[in-house]
Amino acid sequence: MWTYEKRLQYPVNIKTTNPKLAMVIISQFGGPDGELAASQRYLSQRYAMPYRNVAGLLTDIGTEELAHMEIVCAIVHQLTRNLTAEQIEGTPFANYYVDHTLGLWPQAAGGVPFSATVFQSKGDPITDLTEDMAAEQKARTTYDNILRLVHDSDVCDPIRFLREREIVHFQRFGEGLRTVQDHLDSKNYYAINPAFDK
Amino acid sequence: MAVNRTELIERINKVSFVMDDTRLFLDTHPCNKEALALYKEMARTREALVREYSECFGPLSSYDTFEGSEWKWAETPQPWEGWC
Repeated sequence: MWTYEKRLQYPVNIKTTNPKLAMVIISQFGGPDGELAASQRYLSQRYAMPYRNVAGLLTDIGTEELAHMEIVCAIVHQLTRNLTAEQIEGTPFANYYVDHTLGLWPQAAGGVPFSATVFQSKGDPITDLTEDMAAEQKARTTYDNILRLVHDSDVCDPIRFLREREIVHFQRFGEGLRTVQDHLDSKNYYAINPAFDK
Repeated sequence: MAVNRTELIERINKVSFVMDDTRLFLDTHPCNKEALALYKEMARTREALVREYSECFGPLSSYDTFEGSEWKWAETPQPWEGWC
């Protein structure tokens, strides 16, 4: 069960709208390395995790990703809030506006809809945690790419926070993977799936 | 009102973040006494701040109690609104 708190994990207070920038940042909502994919990846994977403490880590990081999704959506919302048709016309936001007006919809920067095919839940703890570490690095690269395009400190600030969390999660997943490996036969690391072969 | 809503939520955000980060650390370092002590200290600080917030500005969490006879949960500002 989850409970909702009416606050962002990190504040978002953007003074100036920027529809062009919103179209780039929306990728971290519904794109291949976005926060929606991250949350669903970890929250889906935990059921097949045979070690309770690592399953707990997946729950906690998956939950934080839901909070990050809300931060990204808050950024996109504030960057497009109260835009007029004239302000949208001729910007890369125009195509999105036709289908979604000023509503939030999970898609990549290139317009590709969110898809569960961007992540795996393989049912093998070593495989899943290795994917999770890669996922955190991919998201970090995406935030680095976004930061090169952002020149508004109101937007940079929460994006930098999200970028730092990717690094912390990468570290914690590495420790989780080590925990899993400690349960295996040291001569036989990759010979079995500890969630399936008993 | 003695307390500013923005200031109070910022204090709650800061103490909550210490707990968010320490929680993940404790998940992979459950025997670290220093981290556990920090987590417990922050939990106490947070509890007092959340109680103060709920009393002044309405519930922060869906399980919080609140002062007065009116239903405030759905009406208080949404977090994505910002304060600019």
